[in-house]
Amino acid sequence: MRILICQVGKPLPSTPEVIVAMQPSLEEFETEVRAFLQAYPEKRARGGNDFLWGAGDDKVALFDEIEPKAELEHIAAVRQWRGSLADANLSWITGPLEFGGRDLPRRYQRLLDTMSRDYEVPDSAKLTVSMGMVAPTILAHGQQSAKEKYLRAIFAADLIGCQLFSEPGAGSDLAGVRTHAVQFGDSWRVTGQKVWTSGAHFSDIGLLLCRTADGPRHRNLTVFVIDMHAAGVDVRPLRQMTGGAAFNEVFLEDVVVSDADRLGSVHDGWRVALTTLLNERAAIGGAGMGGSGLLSSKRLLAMLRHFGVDQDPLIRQQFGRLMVGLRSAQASRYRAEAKIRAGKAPGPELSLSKLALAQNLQRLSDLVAQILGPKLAVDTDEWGAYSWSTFVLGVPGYRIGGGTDEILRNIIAERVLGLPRELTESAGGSV
Amino acid sequence: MTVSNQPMQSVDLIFSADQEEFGAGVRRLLDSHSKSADIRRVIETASGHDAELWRRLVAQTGVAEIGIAEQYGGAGASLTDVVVVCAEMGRSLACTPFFATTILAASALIAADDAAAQADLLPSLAAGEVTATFWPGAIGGMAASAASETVRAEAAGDGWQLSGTANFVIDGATAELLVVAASVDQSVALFVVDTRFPDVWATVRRQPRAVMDATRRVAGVDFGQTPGRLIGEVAFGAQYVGAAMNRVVTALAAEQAAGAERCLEQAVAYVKDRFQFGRPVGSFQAVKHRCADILLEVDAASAAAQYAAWTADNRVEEFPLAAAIAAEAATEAYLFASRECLHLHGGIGFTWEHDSHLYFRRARATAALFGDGSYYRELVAQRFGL
Repeated sequence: MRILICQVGKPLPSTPEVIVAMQPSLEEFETEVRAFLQAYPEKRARGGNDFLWGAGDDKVALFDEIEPKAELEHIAAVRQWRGSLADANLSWITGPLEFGGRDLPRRYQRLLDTMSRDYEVPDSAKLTVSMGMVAPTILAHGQQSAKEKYLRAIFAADLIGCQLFSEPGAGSDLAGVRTHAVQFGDSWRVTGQKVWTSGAHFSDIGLLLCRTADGPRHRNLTVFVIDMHAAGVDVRPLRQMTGGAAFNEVFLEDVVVSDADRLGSVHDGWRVALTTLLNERAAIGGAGMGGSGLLSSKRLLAMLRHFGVDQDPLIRQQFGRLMVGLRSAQASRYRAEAKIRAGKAPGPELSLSKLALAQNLQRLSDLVAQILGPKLAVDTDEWGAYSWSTFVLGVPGYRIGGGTDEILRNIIAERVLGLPRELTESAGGSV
Repeated sequence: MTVSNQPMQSVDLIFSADQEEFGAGVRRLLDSHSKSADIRRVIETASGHDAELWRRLVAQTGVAEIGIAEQYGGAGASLTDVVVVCAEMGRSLACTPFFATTILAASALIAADDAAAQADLLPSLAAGEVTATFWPGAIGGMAASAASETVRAEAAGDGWQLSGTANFVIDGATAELLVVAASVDQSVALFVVDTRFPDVWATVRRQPRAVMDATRRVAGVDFGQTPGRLIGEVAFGAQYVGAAMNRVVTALAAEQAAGAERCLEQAVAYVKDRFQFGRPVGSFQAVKHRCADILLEVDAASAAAQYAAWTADNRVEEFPLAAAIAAEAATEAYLFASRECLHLHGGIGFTWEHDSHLYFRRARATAALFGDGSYYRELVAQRFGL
């Protein structure tokens, strides 16, 4: 058995051979995870991964919109779960040893995820922005002190992060942000307004894109990590068309930020923001969907049979098209992941994944509407019927958030296919 | 039919360095010996095949060995290898016996799993010495609705005799070996008709048809008490055909996706160069968004084909489902890409001189012969257990 001798604070081995030698084998890792899981949460009651019509909650929502009190309880449970993962050195499997990671390949993370599914562990979907977007940006661009201060804490969920990018006047044209920061010695003072901020109301830190000088738009932006509990930060819930409030408006007035929490160089924030956006599209387009089982074929098959439309030729066509869309997008992701494993960086191809997901959600929305008929519009107290209305009302948001369909098509055309940019006053082009 | 389970192991969907190199070798050869002018010359000939090109491909790259087990003189039974080669053939529209022989006929022989027949026939296919084809009959994907006339087989002495008409036989006018699905009483069985024997040849009447896609020839074939060799068992013919068609449509999906990709490359190159209103037309969003949509479909289709091959090579249970998914994605992607890329060329795209119509014809004819999107969507539904 290989022994993991590397501990936090101890000198790191210098040669790759030594690091490889310290990695547990997948079997050893499995034993480690099993021991951890047996000690911590309860085994999941449900049998296997079969979907049983009528059993459990019939909620189907794209945006997590639980009641504020229940949400607080959920966040507390997530923090506790992540904390115990961190105590067991399992919170950041693929991260660098130096900042609390295990420096193991992605397949170890997948194994942990798969094994955890058999236990009653809280869903970490609310931490997608924090762990999937804020953390990679800090890792790529943060100063040493910021990496030490934030990364371990983010994966332990001692700190939860949100993304403060969009503004009322800067949506698709993100380089047009007007929130500005002015330097005073070792600190900066920030004033402005952000919008569409998922999870700001339970976040501890925010990844802020703001203007640090006038002049060419893409060259005078800077990114900071700000304290969401600091004086001058005002978070107000924003109610979206589904009726819930997963987003917020964030008002910033003279908020003090330390220069140590600046990511990347001054005025180089556009490059930093691109890291975040690339990770955002990967996170949204990824297979996860928060483990909600929304796109599960078993659920859909059970639904078709329950409502007696499984022999309807038109429904079968729509079902076939949806499954082809989902499975071929999944194959495309397998290919992109294999490319990354082979040492090639994720590129703008990830935009394809997000565009495909938006299309597939639209197809699913149309299919469930076809299946349910009037039961989509009127609550008949039937399990698994009207609950889809929240989903159907959420789909338009997926074509807008995380890069609109149109912006993504620009990116694909310009970055992947090399087509010429639109002629505009902006030199920066599409992100 | 049950709901197919997805693989538990990690899906390493990447071509090996050897596969990449093999594909590149085939592409180099086709780039220099199967140019547009070569294809245009060959499609005017009676056979529709470039014999010299086929000889070169066989001798210099070994494409005829692809997908055939080593014990039969092949390069190994990997469907992923097949996908790599089919993509190159699809990009170039090369006019050779490859598809009918190495994909259609070999798939039928492999699916029937008759060791004696395989040992007798596969080595000559792998060596590129014999041309062959496969007629799946009224069952299977090909022209399911149109194949009203089927071939019947009856026991005659020690062997079998075939009678009836097989319509829509790919390379039916030229192939030396015909693998034919024929009805025997209530079931279906596979037979090999070897027209190299004069007495067999005399009983087969072949009618080359006028075809929309001249890069892939189709003939009607009449059998009149034609001697045929039974392969596999009579009771399992339908299963052989099904298994063969899963291989065929996976290979075809790779071909279609690569053809679609070639259309996109041509269109992108054109809209970068073509100036109107003082700017490249490719800078207009109406144009670039169309290109992005095509790439989205092409990428999904080629990934789906590669994944289907992966499930076959890794013996994952859901291969038949993955094959149907790849077929749907690639059929639609090719129709879409060939149509829209032609359109993006404007008036030039509508001319005989421009290659757009060759791809448009291939995409349309393939969907017509092997099943269109709606056919495969229904198949996907069935393979999900509906």
